[in-house]
Amino acid sequence: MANYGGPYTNDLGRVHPLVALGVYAVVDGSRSNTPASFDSPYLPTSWQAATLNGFGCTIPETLRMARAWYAANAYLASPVPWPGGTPEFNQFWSELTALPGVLMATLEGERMDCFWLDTYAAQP
Amino acid sequence: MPLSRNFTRRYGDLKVLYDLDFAPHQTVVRQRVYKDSAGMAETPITPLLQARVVAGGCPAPRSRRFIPRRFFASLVNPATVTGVSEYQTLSPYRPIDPNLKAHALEVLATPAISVRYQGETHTETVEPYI
Repeated sequence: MANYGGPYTNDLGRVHPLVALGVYAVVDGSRSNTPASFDSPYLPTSWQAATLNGFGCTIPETLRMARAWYAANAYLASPVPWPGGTPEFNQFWSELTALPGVLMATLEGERMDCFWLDTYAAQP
Repeated sequence: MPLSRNFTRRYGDLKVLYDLDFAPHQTVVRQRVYKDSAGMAETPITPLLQARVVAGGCPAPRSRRFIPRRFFASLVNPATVTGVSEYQTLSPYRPIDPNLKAHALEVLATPAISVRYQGETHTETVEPYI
């Protein structure tokens, strides 16, 4: 898994300044690590501009993930650091679907358990 | 309490105007509302969800291309084996809308013993919304 870090905003608007944004490939249902050189053709330029190579913190919620399908049985999973409804979110998907190596792009939504949903919802 | 072999779930459907993560797209989706034997709704339908209910006689459509963002509320239900039932309440408000957080607070304020959240998921290509 190539390691990246950067800010991440969850669906309830909480901004995490430096989050571990791991990118990995899934081939025939099996997850495999990829070098940064493999990732770059399937990552939009806006995503690469917003992240750094290196490490970040883990957070309690499960990140929303984009799946860039580059073959019928394989996709590259990358976190989407912007919440839905923002211009950055729309730009990310416009760029991702326009990449020549991406056949199809799908979205896996963010997940939050009860404790953290309660915590974030109660914050102003 | 022994469980009935002929346990029947009663339900009705609501049509809800739903904001997709891909602004400015909106669509109408189905919210299934499970009811108890007296006809009272068990699925938490809060005022902010009720505010997005669309009137009309035609059947409520099921979302086919995506799974709406939703809350999973666990409520005590002695009629089940585990004693708990989990009900799904969709949230029609997209993440940047303050009403999503307000809706979460409304669902958390119900008698649910636990509530978790899952964001909008697209199992098919997102290209129609770009």
